[in-house]
Amino acid sequence: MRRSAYLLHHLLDGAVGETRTAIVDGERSLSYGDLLRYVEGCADALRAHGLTPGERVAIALPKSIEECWAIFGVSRAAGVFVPINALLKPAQVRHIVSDCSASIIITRRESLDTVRAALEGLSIKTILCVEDIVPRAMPATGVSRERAVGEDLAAILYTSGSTGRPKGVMLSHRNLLAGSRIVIQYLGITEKERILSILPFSFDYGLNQLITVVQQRAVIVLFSFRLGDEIVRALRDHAITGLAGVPTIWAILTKAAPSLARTRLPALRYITNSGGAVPSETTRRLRELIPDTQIFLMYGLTEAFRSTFLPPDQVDVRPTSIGRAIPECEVFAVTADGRRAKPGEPGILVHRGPTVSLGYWNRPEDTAKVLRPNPFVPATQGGDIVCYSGDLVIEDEEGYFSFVGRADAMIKSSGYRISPSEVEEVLMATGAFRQVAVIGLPDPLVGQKVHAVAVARGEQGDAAAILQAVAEKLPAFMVPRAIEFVDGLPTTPNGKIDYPLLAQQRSAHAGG
Amino acid sequence: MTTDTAMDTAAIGGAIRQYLQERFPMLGTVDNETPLLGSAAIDSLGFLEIVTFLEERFGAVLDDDDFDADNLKTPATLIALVQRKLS
Repeated sequence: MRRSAYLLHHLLDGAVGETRTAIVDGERSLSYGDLLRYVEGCADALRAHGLTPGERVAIALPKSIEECWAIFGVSRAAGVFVPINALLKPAQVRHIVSDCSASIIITRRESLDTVRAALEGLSIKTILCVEDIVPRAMPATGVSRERAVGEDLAAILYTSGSTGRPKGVMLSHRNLLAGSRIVIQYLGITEKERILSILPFSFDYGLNQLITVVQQRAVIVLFSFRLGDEIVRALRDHAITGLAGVPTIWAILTKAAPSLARTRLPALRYITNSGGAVPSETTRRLRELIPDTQIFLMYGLTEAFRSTFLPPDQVDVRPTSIGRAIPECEVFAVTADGRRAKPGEPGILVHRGPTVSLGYWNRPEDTAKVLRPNPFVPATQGGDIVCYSGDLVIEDEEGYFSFVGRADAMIKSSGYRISPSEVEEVLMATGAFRQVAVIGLPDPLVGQKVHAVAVARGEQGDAAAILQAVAEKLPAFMVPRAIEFVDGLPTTPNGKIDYPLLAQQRSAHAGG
Repeated sequence: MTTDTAMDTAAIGGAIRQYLQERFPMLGTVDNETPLLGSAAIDSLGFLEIVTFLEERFGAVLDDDDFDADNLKTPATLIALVQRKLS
């Protein structure tokens, strides 16, 4: 009898010898049978290098077939995988590896020198190159003995908050499997699906695509693009049935992909959005361009993996809504004084259910702010731990939620969460400023654009030259669009920089 | 005859190069032949921003088909695109 899956790699149970295609990566593809062989081979290599259960394995690879099998391979070896976004610069890679004290790094030969230099001096067991990992000839068909249970950590996904450096959100195997099962249910994902993957696997939303595909024995097509038309061509040529994107992708498809209007995409069953609100004008345009495709507007935060979705038949009715709780979960809004918000009253979105994460790696104070006891059921009476999102929402009379804003200074740009203080730290390190504050300003394409307000140290420096230096230290999505020089920064009565005021002053005339 | 409002190649080129250099600092010093499409400095969203900039700065009304790889290769091809649109 087949076991029911309780660890991530159990989703590959029964794949021995399966010839069905799992992954398409440019000219290459991999069957489910071969995926399993590589997963076993990767796990063998990790164990041979001394990986013990629960140790972290950082995966520093571009989106590729190798990244897919490495994720499952780490799970097979009872390790914890930590995907690193390929856009990150050495300083951020080092932060992640050292913060979670990863013991093994998986990369590729081409990046070996860069990775080695970035991690100089850190105590790690080894850096493995995917080129040196060989697939197992014939994986055993029986049920393997496991060294982990479903409650153990499966992954750590790094994400930013309102302050400090990125924090690692801890996800158990049960979290990942619940997220996959739930999304499969409401998107109706079957083995017929051919999903285009353009989001990184370091992002819960992108990772979940891979897991749902493997669970359903569907096909994932890995893809990166420069121009909108390339997405359209990929959708057509690979007969893609499902596409997941962030608001920026929809801006590109509706404004900068002329071929979309004249390309028939009969296979495209659905698209999903997460990582920020889609302007209603963009949603309307998408409905015109791909009228037969269902649009799912979703919302999720890494700390609760996935959270809400709006059924496609509601998109025309309430185009700016984030919908209702995903299956198996409950979502409600809580006011500042701890009451359940009434319809129309803003409150912090609180999420409960099987996708609530295990908190932030090694950060008990930060975890305690986000994961709290159920406010309405005491723990002594069976109350669970719930997730406080920090996102302000309003529930309407019919129980649909809408996003209002953040309760803190966190910036959200192109689906990425950006901590102002992390950008400020790099700006200050240039030595050009006495003081600097980084804020998010409304932008029609990326949601919020990163903007720096600065007091120069001595003579005002050349903003372009400073930004060029900053762009070498930070990934492009974190680099400020502009540096605005001022004589002084406004402060609150207790002497802190008044971020809300800075943003308000600029948003008022930032319409253009 | 040139009108007061018509911009010459040098002015268009100067404005485009300055914009690119400030908006995409990783390009380094921008000249007319700096590769844009093949560079890691500009992502997909960046190209949408560039086209939006051309429309707003020069009042060039771009058609869907102008959003073509051939028009986005270098600052020189952007300048040529704007001139074609304004003439």
